[in-house]
Amino acid sequence: MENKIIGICGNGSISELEQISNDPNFVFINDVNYQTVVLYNEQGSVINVNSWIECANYVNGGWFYGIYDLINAEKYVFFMSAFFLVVYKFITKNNLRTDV
Amino acid sequence: MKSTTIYKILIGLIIILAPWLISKSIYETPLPAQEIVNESVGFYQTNTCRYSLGEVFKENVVNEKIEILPDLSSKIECFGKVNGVDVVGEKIKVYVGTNPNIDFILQSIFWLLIISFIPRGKIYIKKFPNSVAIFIMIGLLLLHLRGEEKFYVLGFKNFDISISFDNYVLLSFLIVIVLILQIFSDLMATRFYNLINYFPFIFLLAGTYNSLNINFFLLIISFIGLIGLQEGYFSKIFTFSYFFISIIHLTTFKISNVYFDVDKLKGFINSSQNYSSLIFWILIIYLFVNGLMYIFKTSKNNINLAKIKINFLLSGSFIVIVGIISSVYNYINYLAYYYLGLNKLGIKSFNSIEGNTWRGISPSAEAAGEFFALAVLFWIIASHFEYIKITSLEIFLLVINLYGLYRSNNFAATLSLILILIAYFLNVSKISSRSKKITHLISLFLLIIVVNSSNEYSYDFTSKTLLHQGVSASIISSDFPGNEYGLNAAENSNFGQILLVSDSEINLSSSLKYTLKEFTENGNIKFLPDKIALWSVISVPINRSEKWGIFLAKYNPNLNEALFGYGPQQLANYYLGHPTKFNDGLVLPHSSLLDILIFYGLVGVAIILLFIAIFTIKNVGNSIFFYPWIFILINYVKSDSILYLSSFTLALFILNLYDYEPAIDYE
Repeated sequence: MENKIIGICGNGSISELEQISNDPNFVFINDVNYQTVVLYNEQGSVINVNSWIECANYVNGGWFYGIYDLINAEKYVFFMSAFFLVVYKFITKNNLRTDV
Repeated sequence: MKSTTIYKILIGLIIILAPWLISKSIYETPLPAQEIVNESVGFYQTNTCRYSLGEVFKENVVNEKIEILPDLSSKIECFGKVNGVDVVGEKIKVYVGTNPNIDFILQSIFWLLIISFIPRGKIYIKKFPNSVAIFIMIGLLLLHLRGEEKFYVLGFKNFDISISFDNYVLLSFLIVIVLILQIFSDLMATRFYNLINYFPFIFLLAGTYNSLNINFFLLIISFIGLIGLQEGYFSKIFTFSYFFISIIHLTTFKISNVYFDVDKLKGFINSSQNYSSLIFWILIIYLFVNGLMYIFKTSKNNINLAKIKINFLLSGSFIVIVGIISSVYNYINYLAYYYLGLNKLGIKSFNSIEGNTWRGISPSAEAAGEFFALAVLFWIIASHFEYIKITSLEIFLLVINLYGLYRSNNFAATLSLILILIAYFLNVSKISSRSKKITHLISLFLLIIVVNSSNEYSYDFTSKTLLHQGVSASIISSDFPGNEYGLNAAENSNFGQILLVSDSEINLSSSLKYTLKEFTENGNIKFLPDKIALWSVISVPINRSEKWGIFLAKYNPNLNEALFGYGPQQLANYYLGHPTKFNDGLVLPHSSLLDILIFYGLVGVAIILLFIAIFTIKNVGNSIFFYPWIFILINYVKSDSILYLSSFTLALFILNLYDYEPAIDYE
């Protein structure tokens, strides 16, 4: 997880993250020097985080970077393969092309 | 060049290049790709799945510091993109995303495209349609994925074998195999009979999927095996003996939750130890062998020796050339691995490694050396046998193959090549039969003297070396008593004392215990060397005493397993079942005979040896079969070649030349 946090949010103090997890009233303060990072969750929600600690906290909670994680690409692979198979069978069955 | 060929080449180029060039489809990429140096590693670690290999290539056309490796388990969206970068010593490892679903499609389509280059010939007519065979192959793939779930789960976090209509990971595999087999069937309609002449290329195009423990040729030849069964072709003796042993495997099988790291044996070995994986490998090996025999049997009249011998040389030459290029250029190294379906990435250095061997793109330098020597042997015998004209191109290719043999540093293959060629030319010479016999005897006598003189150790020492290595590889308790010089019985080769101590002090395998007892307790027959001592003496000059000693230390079968083995391609029990000092890394038995012993036990070994003996003696007069076959027998006894699909196929290919008769018309 530590590597994932550093990978997405950049370098920071992991011990600081452990401290805030015990403080339910902690409020994140924007860091003007921190470039806003966009995070996503499995429901497709989007959040902009504006400090390293905020970013680390969300990544630690299962949020991730990039909407790729939301796409079921295997579904597209399956339907594309099925489509290709049908077209291929159609072509070969109708002798549009007898040999490859 | 025909327009179809141009289209095929263009499609091939698209398949090779396009997957590694796609990028920026969804992500915004704020910064362009950078040169990969130690300072930019963090940048790539933060921006994973963003930059395609093509983009990285533009900034790192020549960057000797980087090693390109596949990230086997990335998401489909990250295919072809840099998914991780690590500094390891002096090198920077760049992991490029690959995915099992995409590998299955992409690699299969590329290999089908290569098969489409086989020239068309007579139409292959079947009595029955393919649908049943395709349906069974779907079932087999499902069985494989279920049985070896551990292999896939370890690398592929989305892997799910549950059968449901929304499990697209599984559905994709199943639809793609239908597609592959359908296209393959159509290709075979006009190429089936010509396939036999292109078997030498199986050494170049290995066909192992990047992220699957399965091989393309295993699938398609097993499919042919099923078609052969449909058409009524099968060997009764093979089927009966194989399934007799298989039933014993199934009834006595011990399930274990182990995972065997397949490493360079990927695609042709069982990674698990459960019923699903065992049944899969039993069926697939039977179908694979049946498929090969069906191809060889039905294509017998289409064998074109001139074509086969040049294909051997071409295949060997491509292996050498691609091996050299991929050893000096990292991108080609990666692409060659992926598109040739190599078991492991080619060697990354042009310099030789341990033992002065250079394996190029082959998984093993030994197997590569055997192939180059076989290519040379086959070319010489075929050219002489059928008085086929030798072209300057062939001489050029021959030189490349000889260079490959030299670089592989396979002394046994080189020596056996020379000796077999001497024997061949002696036998076909016009001197009298009596003179030939005398010359053979003198040569054999000289060979024994030469081998013996090169051995600097005494008989007493060499006869114990194998067992000493076996005991040394076993786990010995620190409390094991030593003599007055501090040497314990294991270090001192005092086998009698070792047999007296309890299992808690030295954990010997059943096979090592048996051989130690045989060596120390059974009396010698006068004038005959002890069988264990003889085995040990033979192992020393061929540099196998350590490997075979480790085999003895590891091989721990019960009576049933010793008789019938663990099952086809089942190394997990042998490898992980008995702890020794060699439980990490892939330390193989280094003998195909020992591999067969592990898989099929003493009964299997006896059946195979009996078959080989009868078959070889019966066809001794057929030079095109006999000499290459003897070469294979000699070399495979001291190598694990049978564990590689290409070497296994090649052995069966040569075996099936036993009744070759020169054809009048080719194609």
